[in-house]
Amino acid sequence: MTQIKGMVLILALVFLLVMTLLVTASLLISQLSHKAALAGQQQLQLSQKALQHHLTQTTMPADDNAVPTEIMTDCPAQYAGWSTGALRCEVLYLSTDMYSDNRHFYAGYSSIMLKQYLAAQDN
Amino acid sequence: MVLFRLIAVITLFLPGISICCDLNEAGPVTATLPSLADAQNPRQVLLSNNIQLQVPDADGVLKMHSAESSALIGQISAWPTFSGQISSIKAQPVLVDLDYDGITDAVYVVDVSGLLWFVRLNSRGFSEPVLLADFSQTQAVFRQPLQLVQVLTPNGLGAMQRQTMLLVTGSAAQGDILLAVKHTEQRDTPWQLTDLTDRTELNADEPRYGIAEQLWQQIQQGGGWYVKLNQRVIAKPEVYAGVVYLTGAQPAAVGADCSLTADARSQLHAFHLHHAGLVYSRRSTDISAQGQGSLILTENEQGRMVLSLQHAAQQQTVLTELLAIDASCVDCVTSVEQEPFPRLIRLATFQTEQDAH
Repeated sequence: MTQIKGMVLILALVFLLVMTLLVTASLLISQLSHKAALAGQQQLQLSQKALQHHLTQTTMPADDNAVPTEIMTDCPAQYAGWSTGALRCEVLYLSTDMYSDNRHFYAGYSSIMLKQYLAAQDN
Repeated sequence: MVLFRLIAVITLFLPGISICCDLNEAGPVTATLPSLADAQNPRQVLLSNNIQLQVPDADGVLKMHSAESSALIGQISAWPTFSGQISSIKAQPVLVDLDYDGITDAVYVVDVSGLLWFVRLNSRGFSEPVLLADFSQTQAVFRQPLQLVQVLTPNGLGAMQRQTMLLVTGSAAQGDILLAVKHTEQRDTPWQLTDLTDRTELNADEPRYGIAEQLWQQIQQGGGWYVKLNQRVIAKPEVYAGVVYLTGAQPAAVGADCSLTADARSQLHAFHLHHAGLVYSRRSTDISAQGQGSLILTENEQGRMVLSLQHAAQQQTVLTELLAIDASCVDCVTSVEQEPFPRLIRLATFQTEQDAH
C-alpha cells in the first residue's frame, strides 16, 4: 500500500513539473511574439522617417550627400526646351541612411536626381 | 560696253550683298565619335562644310577630319538626289546626341537651296544621308547656322513625344524666314513648306483668347511652323525656356558685316517654340541694337536673370522678367524665376537594400 502511495506522489510531482514547464514555455513564446510584432512596427516607423528625411533632402539644393555621377553633354528633352549648350545637366546620386537608437534597425533610401543649371552659372 | 557690263555685274551682286550678314562661327564643328580601338575613349573629329573647305561655290560637300592628325576620315560629296549633287553647304551644321551618352549620333546640314539633311554618324564616318525637308520652293538662301532643340511635344493624342526641333533661317531679298521643323524618324517623305503652318500673321483673336484649337491640332500633326520676318536676322535664334528669341532689322539697313545703318530699326522677336504664338504681350519689341550680336542669358545686379545682347565686349540688356512656356496648357507661361537655377529634379527614388533582413 505504501509503495502505491509513493508512486502516486511521484506521478503527481512529475505532472506538476510538466505543467510548470508548459506554462513557462507559453509565457516565453508570447513575450517573443510581442517583441517580433513590435519589431515590425518599429522597422516600418523607421522606414517612414527615413523616407520623409530623404524627400526633404531631395528638395534642398547643394546637399553634401549628393554625389555627381555623370555630367551630361545634352540635357534631356523637355517641353520648355533650351538651345544646345544653354543649359547644363548633371545626374546626381543622393542617398539617406538611418539607424534606430539601439542600432537594431536600419532603413535607407536612394534617389537619382537631375541637376539643371545655366551655362552662364558655370563659373 | 564696259560700263554696261559693270552695271550688270553690280546689279547681279546687290541682292547678294544685302543677304550677306553671316552668323556662322568661323571654324569647323567638333563632334565626338567612338574610338575604333577602344570603346572607352571617344575621339574628336572636325566637320567642315564648303566654307571651311574653301570651296564656297562648289557643289555641297561635307568632310570629317580627325582633330588630332587632320587625316580625312569621311566625306559626303555624292548625295541621294536625282543628280547626285546638292548646292553648296554654307550653314554651320548642328550635332545631336540622341541617347545622351556623350557620343555624337547624327548631324543635320542644310544646303543653300534649302535641302535639310539628317546624317547618322558611325565610328567609321558618315552613314547614308536622309532628306528631312525640302524648302527650295521658298526661293530663299539658307546660309545661316542651324539651331537644335530637343523637346517633348504633345503628339495630338494627349501623350508627350520626344522630338528634335530644328530652327532654320532662310534669307530672301524681302526679308528672312524662320522655320521650325520637327524631326520624327517614323516619317519617310520629306517635309515641304506646305506641311508647315504659316504663322507670319496672328489671328486677331489670338492675343485675347490664345491659339485656336484647330490651328494647334494642325501644327501638332504637321511638320512645324514658319514665320516670314520681313527683317534680316542679326542675332542667331536662341531658345530659352521654350521661347525662341532673335533680333532683326529691316533688310536695307543691314550691311554685309551685319552692321546697321543710322536709321535702322531693330527688334527683338520672341516666339512660342511649339506654335510661334505669343509668349509676351507682343511677339516683337523695338530695341536699340548696334549690329550683330549674340543673345545670352546673364544675371543683373539684383541677381535676376535677364536676356542680353552681347556685341564684342559690350552687353546690352534687352529683356527682363523672362518667361518660360508651361505644358499645362497651350498658351500657359510662367516666370523663369519661379523655379530658380540650379534646379534639382527627382527622377527616381528606391529603397536601399543592405545585407539580409
